[in-house]
Amino acid sequence: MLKAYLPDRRRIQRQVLDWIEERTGLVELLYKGLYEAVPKRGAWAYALGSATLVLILNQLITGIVLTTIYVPSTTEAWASLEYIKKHDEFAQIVRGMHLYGAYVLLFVIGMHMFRTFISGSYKRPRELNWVTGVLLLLLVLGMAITGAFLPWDTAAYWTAVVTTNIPSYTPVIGHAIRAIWRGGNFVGPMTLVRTYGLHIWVIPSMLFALIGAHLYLLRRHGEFGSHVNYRGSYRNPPDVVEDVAERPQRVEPPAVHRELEPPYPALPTDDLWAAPLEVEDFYPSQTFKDGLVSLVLMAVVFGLAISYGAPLEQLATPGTVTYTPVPEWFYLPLDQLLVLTPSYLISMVLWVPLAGVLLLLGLPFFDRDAERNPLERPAIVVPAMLILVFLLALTALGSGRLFNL
Amino acid sequence: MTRRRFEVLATQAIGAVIGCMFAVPVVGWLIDPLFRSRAPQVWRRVGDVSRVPYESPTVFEVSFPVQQSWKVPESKYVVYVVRHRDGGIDAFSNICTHMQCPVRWEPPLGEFLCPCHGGLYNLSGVNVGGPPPKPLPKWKSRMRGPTLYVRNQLNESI
Amino acid sequence: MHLFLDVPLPAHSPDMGGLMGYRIAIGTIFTFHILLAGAVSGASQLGPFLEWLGWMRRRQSYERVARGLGRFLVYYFAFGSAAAILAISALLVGLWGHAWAEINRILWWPFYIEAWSFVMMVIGVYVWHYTWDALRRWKVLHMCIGGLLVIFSIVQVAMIDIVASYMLTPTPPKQPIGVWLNPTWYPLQIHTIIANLAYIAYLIGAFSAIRFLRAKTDEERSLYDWAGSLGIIWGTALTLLQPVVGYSYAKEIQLQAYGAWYKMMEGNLSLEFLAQITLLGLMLFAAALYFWMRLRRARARGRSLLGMLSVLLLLTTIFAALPYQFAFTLDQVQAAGLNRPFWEGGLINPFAAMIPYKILALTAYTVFGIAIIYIYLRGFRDVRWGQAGRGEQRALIFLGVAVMAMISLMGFIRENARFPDVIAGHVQEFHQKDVNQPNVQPAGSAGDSTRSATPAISIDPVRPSPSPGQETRPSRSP
Repeated sequence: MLKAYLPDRRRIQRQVLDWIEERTGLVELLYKGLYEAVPKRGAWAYALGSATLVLILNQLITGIVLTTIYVPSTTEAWASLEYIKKHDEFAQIVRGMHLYGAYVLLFVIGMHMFRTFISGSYKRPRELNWVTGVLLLLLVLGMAITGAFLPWDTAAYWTAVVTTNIPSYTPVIGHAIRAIWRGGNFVGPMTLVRTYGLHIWVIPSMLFALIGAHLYLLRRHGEFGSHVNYRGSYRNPPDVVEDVAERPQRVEPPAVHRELEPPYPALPTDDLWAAPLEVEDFYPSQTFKDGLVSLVLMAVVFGLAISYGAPLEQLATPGTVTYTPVPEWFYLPLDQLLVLTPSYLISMVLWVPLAGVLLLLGLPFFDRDAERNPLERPAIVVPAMLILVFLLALTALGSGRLFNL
Repeated sequence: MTRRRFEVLATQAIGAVIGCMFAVPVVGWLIDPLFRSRAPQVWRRVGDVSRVPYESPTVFEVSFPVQQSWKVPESKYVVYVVRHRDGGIDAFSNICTHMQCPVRWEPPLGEFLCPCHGGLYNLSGVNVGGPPPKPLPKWKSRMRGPTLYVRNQLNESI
Repeated sequence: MHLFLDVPLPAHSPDMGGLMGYRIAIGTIFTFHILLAGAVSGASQLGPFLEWLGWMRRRQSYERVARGLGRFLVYYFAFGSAAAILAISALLVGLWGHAWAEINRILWWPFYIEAWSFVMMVIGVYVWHYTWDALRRWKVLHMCIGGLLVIFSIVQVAMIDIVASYMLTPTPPKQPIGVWLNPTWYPLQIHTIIANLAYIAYLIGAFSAIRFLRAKTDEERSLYDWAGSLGIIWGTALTLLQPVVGYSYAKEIQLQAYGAWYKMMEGNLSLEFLAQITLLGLMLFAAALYFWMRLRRARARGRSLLGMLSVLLLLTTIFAALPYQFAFTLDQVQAAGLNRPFWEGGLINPFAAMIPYKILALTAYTVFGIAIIYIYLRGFRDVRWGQAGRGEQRALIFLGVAVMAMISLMGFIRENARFPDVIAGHVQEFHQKDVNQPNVQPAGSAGDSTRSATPAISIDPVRPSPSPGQETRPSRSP
């Protein structure tokens, strides 16, 4: 087996690798991972997944470093960050990378999800990839919002107040959830410590477990890519229409250039989607693209961290009558929903997001049609675009407050 | 019962017992704030309110303890003193009942405005517009002559 | 432009007797203007998009609809520019000179940019339409021209929305750009763009229905049948966004110009507002009927569910159409002292309160609307184009008429909400107010007079007065 990967290595190197392989099996694992066949066309779009992973690693590393200086206490949290801001340039860059990394990460996750949705990659047998992905999105949102509490400046304090207050509209147990999260009826020292625990232990442990599951499932079924990699559309309805003759026809190389291996199972329902027409090696063809996209994104994060750094407002105080709390940008749709919901219907602020999450989780289970071309499955794509435009419109409507209009 | 069956049941039972050992103290500690509050109840002097103009909410600040476990420095809270023409005095907090944002008095509107989501309360603290579900909460208060005192407790749960 | 803000304008006193005539003249012209301008903006945004979609999907029929939109734009611009010059010179400068001068003085740059983007749009339309065949081999280039057309069209709508929103909520500028970016511009902009697209989509549907009914060949019949379906899907999908966006817009107006908001929701314009909600429900009901008829004819999956949903939509519409007060305005009810529920002999119907019932009805519209679109699109593989009956076409034509009524009504409500001011708090139609105090209007005080008249319906005057004995329980000496 190993010989297939290592045809002409030098002898000593081969012996070392064989020794390790015999004892651990790691070499084969590594080589299988590296030389998997992935779909060739549209590979730049598939780089978003790897970019997400790189950005999460950025969060992990910078986050671990930050725990070496940050003190999770209402009396010292702000002071420790103030110290960083004034006297510790490298830590300030680390903190900036942690903050802007989170922003870019959320944006990239959104793009990755959109790409997966458009290419129909969540369909059988990849339903659980989608489900773990949605759960990962929720966990990352949870990380983002718990992280926003920690600086304990004015912005953080009011984020903490509003965020911990949202679950209090749950029927029956609402106030209990709020009291448990806050460690009392008001936001105080326990709120910070509890949220810190969530941010650095509880959510990350679930996050990394699910990342493992997500990657395992990805490798089990293989990268789907998108419909352009396959033989054609599942259905081509006999409309009134003929081809737009002038469209430049893309030339499809007919043959699959190498023997396909089991990652592409031939399920009876979707023979059409069983194997891409053209594949290339994950390493180095795909990793090159992944690396380049990740590099650009990390450069953005690094550049923002160096040039702007993470902001820190005044120390938190509940006694203000002039401060206008503004949500983080990724919570603008929810915040606008809070603005729009009148007092009688206030629990809609919970039911609408819950319905959204259930719709997302349920997507692969009610959309079981084998069609993958986004332009040929309007029943899903049109309502989804409608909901997306809803979210964008809510964001746009809420963003007026960011600019203090 | 076969030996194998016994081992299956015993494994499950042992797992359950160990699970309880994890769960009981952890859950007990987590839900502890539901059953007791560790912040002391205090009265604090707001000030002489006899010079507060009529029907014009005026900001006073008081310090209240915020401790939920060990003792920490007190935090400043806002008391909006409203002096009504009939002689009544209200000591409003600035905590919006919608999402607990800090409300402010807007003279052109003649109402308290919550800047987060546009909640409106009138001079009597009644929620007259926007999302707030309840009236603006008041601090528990009392007068000693012209001096107003408030307690770190609201007149209703929010 | 702030350099000009302090320059006094010459006093100008038009004849009061002509007020009604002025209002009718300008109202008529501007209703036409809104209807035509909405269609133009929508067509120049939807057309290039449909062309791109046709190229992506390799469908000739999208291309034909897009070309139709291009032809419409060319015809419109041939006479529309003449009409616009007439409207501006004769009506605005002649009859409304003072207000027009004042608006131009404050909002010079938006008008300037708008004029240029309009010129670019005209150029874009002509180039886009007349190079269609010439650029057959360079389709991407042609679509780029279409893209430019979309951008200029959006810029143009944005600029005119600055004017429209400024006239309703002229807030004091915080920074130089603040005059333009007043708080309602943003929601209005989103609202308008979506409205224009939905409007042109419904117009495509109605036009296709008429052409379908007159079609001679099967080929024509199937094309117009398909185009009608396209129009109604796009129109309905975009209309569904409008309750949320429009409600955001209304919330901003409530915070910034309470008087205008009160007039719309409870005052003189409340019946028009009610008519609008009813019309929206009827439009969704008509769309549901159309979808149901199509699926029933095709015996496709989901037809009975669609039938049930259309009944539900009708019921929701009836519920939403209930008036809150059995009089023209709430003020009349209060003046008559009948401010109680109808079962106590009053004229108030609490089951039609904006909060929560109208909001619930609007939410139900949105949810049912997304459901009917989903079910129709799920079953629409079985639909054969060209087999529609007359009922479907009637629904399409009704929707075309209804959407025009909706747009006119919307313009009517927005423009009348600030009556008698032309710029709220700034310039009155016959300028009894001093206009040389720029931006004196603090937020929200535009409606102070209305507001103080606002009765006990929403603001409870009974203050729960605290009795000191109840509240103070001396437990510990402070």
